[in-house]
Amino acid sequence: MKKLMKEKTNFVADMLEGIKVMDHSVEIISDNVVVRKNLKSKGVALVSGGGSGHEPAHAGFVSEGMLDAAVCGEVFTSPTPDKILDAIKHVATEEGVLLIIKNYAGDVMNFEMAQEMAEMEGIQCQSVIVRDDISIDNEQDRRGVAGTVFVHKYAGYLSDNGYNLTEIKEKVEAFIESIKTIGMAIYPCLVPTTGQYGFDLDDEKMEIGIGIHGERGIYQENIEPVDDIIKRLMNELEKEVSEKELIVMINGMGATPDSELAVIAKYFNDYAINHKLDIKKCIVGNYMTALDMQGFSITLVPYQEEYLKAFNAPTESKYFK
Amino acid sequence: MNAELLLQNLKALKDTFEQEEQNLTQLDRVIGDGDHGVNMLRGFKAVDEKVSGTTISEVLKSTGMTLMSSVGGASGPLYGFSFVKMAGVDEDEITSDNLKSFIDEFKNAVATRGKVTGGEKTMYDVLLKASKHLEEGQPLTNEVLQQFADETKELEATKGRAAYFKKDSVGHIDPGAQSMVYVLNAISKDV
Repeated sequence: MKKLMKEKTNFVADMLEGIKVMDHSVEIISDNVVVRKNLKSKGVALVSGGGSGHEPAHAGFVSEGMLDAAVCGEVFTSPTPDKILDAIKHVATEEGVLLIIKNYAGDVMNFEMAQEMAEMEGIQCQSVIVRDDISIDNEQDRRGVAGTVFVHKYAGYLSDNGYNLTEIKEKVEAFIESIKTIGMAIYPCLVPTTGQYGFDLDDEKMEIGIGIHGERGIYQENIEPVDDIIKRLMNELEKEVSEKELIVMINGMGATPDSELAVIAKYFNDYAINHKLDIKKCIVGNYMTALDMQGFSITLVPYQEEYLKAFNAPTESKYFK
Repeated sequence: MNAELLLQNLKALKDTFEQEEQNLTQLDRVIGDGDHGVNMLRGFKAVDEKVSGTTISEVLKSTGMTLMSSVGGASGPLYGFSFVKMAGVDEDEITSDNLKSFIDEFKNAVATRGKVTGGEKTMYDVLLKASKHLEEGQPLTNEVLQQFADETKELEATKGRAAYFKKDSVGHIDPGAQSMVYVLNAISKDV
């Protein structure tokens, strides 16, 4: 295995030390919990997290306008409840804490246990579970993927605008219902802790419906030109989203060069014009990655004025512009 | 089996998971995200370093808390919470007469935390069969436990990450079921 790293068992700790060097507005408390140095004194605090390997998610979104804390588990492994509890206790305000959880069994179990423990200590705590990945048929089982970043931003906006915990939970849950994502990969990722590729993929094949933990997709196809891939993904998405006015995220999976993301943006724009879609905002970049997987996902959100306002509201995170 | 022997067996799981890390990772790679071996080894390394106790209950609780704070993923809360629950059985020794109480506590904890029933291709299938086996008065052996894990091969996953692969999950042993063989063996082999 060739990776720029020192020890596989120290990979996440080293990464977090590095994040501290790169961003002076955050600090690390209690192993693997990244928090804002400048803590919120009022407003609902937001805690998210999950396995590492999705950078800049989640630590990159710990900043004004977005998260108050990110709990970073081992690579592709949910963090443990004690660490999540540490994060909650560190950032909690009197108005309470909202946990933003991606729908993976481990994440849900660990975050829920932490929530129970926080409540036992008298902290007002609520959670929302993101399920935006339409490659899974059963809606309850859908994984939380790139759309989670939109949730961080929207919840941050609501918190900064003084909504209370109950209102934020309600609004965020309605928002989550409307977010739809599907992803694909042309190369799997190499997982540093195991030294293995997430899955095997022949040179002439691509995986459709990949998750963000290096797991296989839902089906394989022969590789196609990117405009056809976009058409394929949009066909799936438009089964779920009939609105024509949209907010869009084109998310790189970690090792997709900016040139290719730009090519995807061009053909996505062509597709939108041909299909008379009114794209109110389209952000393109690496937001929720799977280490060095090559591929991308498309996230659609039916346009609402408030959502656009939320996504355009300022944040100190350099990763969400 | 007294507390000392139980502690010894649980600490020895570090060596087992060192040996089986690759195998578990391989099983998980096919129908999951390939980190089960790494996570279990991290957990039982911590058990080897940190767990102490002079009663069965203390050893089980200390093991549970250690797993909960070191494994992560889905297996962390499932194994961790279950060991804490088993500590509630409160017996001086684990014997052939009371082993079923421990296994049932384990089984119920996984069912509650993991919201599983049976036949969903998870670690729970091994627990369910182990409990039935004891109920029928049969002794739990490593071979029997391995057979229970092997039987998950034929199942289509409907729970956990493997469920995303539907029919493609058939033909592979569930990695959680396989790690459960080692864990249950440590609890029951000297009974």
